[in-house]
Amino acid sequence: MDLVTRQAVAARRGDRTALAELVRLTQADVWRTCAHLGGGADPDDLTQETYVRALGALPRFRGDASARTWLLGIARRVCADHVRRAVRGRSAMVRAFTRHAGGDHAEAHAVGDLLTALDGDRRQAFVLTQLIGLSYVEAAEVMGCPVGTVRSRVARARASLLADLATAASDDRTSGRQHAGPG
Amino acid sequence: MSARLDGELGRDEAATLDHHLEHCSRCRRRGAELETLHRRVRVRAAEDVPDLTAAILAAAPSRGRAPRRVVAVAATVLAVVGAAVTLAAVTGGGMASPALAAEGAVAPEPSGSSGVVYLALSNDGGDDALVGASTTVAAHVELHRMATDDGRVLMEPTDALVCSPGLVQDAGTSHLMLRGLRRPLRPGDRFDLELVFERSGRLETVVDVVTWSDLPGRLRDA
Repeated sequence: MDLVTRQAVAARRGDRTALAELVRLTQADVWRTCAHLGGGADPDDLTQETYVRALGALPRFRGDASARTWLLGIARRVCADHVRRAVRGRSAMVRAFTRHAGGDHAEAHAVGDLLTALDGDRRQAFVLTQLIGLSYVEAAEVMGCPVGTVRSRVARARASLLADLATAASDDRTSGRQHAGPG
Repeated sequence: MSARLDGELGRDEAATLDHHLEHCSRCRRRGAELETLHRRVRVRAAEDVPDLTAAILAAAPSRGRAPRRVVAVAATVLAVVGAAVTLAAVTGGGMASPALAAEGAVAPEPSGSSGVVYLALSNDGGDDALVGASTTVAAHVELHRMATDDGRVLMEPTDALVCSPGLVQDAGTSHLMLRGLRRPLRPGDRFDLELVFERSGRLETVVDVVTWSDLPGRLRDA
């Protein structure tokens, strides 16, 4: 049993310190998932809501599956409940990334911009495997779909991103702008 | 080719793919584009993730009640470098005598055999490192620090917490774990904690035991 799952099992038994450790071990992944899949809603709020739901579900957590994928599955559902099409993905994403620190976020913005073109299943699959670092099997658990579906969604996400980059590059060539394209 | 980038390709599939790529320059070009995209997504600024632990725990019920939402107040940003946070550039060199202070030590009320202590550390002098701690209320004390693993933030035990000159570390960044508690700790209790530094030697501080709901406020004020 991995460390995160052990903490979850101890927390289920009422050990508050283990619960604090569980949060500390997982909150970065949960926050980043909410930042990328929350459709512009405040990732702090979505993160808190994820843990509130997880605490409610903890008595039913069996400990035979990974607590990390269990938690990220809850985060994904919290985000799905909050996604609103009216929100402009780009500005919300940038706000979310810049809220908490004063470092150089040029690259984070660039990635955020790249991802705004993706939505739905392809976005989820891409974010979970590429930004959170889950394996296809883990992502399949989080998304509740077969592994092969994750593989094809990631591949389609990449194809979509490459197409968008190619379009942007040719648009910029037409208008004479410089553009940091691929390669 | 997408699955290969993620290391998810089976051996037979990989062999078939390689065989195809030998003959197909179009797919090779596509492969190169995919790899460039892959590197671009991977090489990204580590996002600074806020530490919401205290707020989340404050909202958690102790027994059976439905959890309630607490407005996230914890503003401590997790340090994404391996050691403790250093603010000022060094003047006068790391070999000057260290001048360490510990304050605001607080322990939320434990419910098992482990507890956690948060405290603020500052160093107005030269290099030092926190290498251990002890207390009569627990069998061992572990030092824990923030580390990153490929962009993910982890907490891990460590032998030493570097206390560079100019260090100002908020309570809540790194913390101490108490293992094998020897007696129950209740809000309002206080206990002595002895910190051991590599150069400065022993430093005593007093830890306040608080409720989980009071913890966020105490970390803010520390």
